[in-house]
Amino acid sequence: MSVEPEVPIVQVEEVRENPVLYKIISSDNHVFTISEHAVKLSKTLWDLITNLGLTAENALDNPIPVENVNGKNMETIVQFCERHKYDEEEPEYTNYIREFVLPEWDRQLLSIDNEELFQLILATNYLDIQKLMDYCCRVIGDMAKDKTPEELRIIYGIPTDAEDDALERSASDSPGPSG
Amino acid sequence: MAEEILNNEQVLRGCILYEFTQGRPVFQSFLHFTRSLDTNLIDYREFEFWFYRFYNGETDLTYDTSLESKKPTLFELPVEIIEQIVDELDFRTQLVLRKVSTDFRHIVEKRVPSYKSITLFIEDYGAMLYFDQHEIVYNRTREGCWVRYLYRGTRFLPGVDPVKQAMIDLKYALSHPKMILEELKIRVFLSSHRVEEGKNEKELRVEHFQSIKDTLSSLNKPTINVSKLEMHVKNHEEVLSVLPYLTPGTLSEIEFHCANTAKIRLQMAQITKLDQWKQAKVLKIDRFFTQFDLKNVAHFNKFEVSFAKISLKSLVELKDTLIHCPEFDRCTLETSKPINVKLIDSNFGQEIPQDPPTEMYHYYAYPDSEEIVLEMCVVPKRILFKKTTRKSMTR
Repeated sequence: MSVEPEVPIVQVEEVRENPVLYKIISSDNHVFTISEHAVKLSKTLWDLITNLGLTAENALDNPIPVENVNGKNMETIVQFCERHKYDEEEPEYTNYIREFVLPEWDRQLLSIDNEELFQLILATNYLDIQKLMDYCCRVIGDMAKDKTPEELRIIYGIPTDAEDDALERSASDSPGPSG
Repeated sequence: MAEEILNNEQVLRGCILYEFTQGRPVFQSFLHFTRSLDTNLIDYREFEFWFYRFYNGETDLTYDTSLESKKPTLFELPVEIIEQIVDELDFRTQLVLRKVSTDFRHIVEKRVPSYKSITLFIEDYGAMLYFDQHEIVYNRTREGCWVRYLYRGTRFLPGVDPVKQAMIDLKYALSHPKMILEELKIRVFLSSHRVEEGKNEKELRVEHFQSIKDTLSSLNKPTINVSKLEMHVKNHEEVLSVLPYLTPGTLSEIEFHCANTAKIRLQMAQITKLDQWKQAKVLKIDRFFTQFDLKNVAHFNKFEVSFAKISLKSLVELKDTLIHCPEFDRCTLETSKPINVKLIDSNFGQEIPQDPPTEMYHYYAYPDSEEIVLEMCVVPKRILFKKTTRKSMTR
């Protein structure tokens, strides 16, 4: 795919003061701008920015290529980080029951099919964004809630142990190198 | 004819679009779709793909799915991510997940459980389990058992006994290989008039404690790691259904409360022989009479026990033992038969003189310490021993 014109897909919302902006290029050559506060949510990107010595002056002239994340996922990630850039740190997990309900905005953002969600999780894992990871895991958890084992097998395409064994048997029965 | 129509991809996608417009959640939609069309031509993954396209306003039924990039399945995620997902699940969903496949069971069992205390209540209505503050109630009905989870709704199990179901869940929780509990509480309270399937309260208690014993003795490990045990019981056999199954040494605190309205006697002979007893550090026996040699409690750092009677001779022996136990902190002994305070004399050994002298308090020096002293406070029905300092003697 050819490099897209450098028009940001996601515009930075809620500009407070004069934010420092960075440019990110996804694996399929989409270009995104992201504010400094938002990009700090990704440990990987922020480490990269620090190591590259990018400053307010040269940041926009040095786009950061991210080979492992495609444009679709990057769009979701940038939206998420911009949305949550001013969030206060959540208190440490205690032993009490967490009855955390996903905010409506995030629930809408993460209303995608499981496989897309898994792909987003991989991207989030690579970019090391803990909050988004927590939210994605919560979406999967909510999906699994109140389901029977059989329903979970259908949802996640998991074969039963018997089916698994049968598959393995048929694989080992198939002709292969003798010896 | 119908089959031919269903073999047309676009017709099927149209049916999914129809399902989407009905406003059901995606999985219910899928179940309705497969039931209505009596087909398994589309698996859940494909259904979900189209469902979410429609959700995002993309209604083009001719979209070429080969344009989609390859996406991972759940089992293509790194195992640490799957573990994080499992950690996010509530206890009930983890229970269900174990039954999905062997792989999932292994993953669930590898996680360190988040709960630190487990409480089991068995009462007239059925049973209740607490994992920390997370409550599961098992209610008995004629047809079976209603299970109610805190914040997580209810489900009905036809023909299931609530106590048996609670035992199944308890067994799962206790089987967890990485589990170290701070506290295990077991309380069985049944009305004295209770009759169930022709069994009276006493027989029902025997039956319930037998199921508890069966559960604890059938785990995949020899003993359970628990720091504190609290039990509401009526006799020593009930204690013996639980205490031998906890890890000696790890168990540091023991509390027995009497589940009877009137104070009754607790036989201690078998209990005091257990390593779990010998290695524990804190003991409380509440609203029971006991009668056993006081040397059997001298190893506890703190203890509270009621005796039917305490002889002066055994009290002297206890004092002489405690004064050689550097770990000892304090204890309270109650006795139904009052002690004659006046008889505490030189038989008790050399006292540290007080100024002014008191009849209630007595102080004894530790053999190898100038500063630390053992305080004995005697009122007719209660004796308190406490490790303290010479400074605090000044009253």
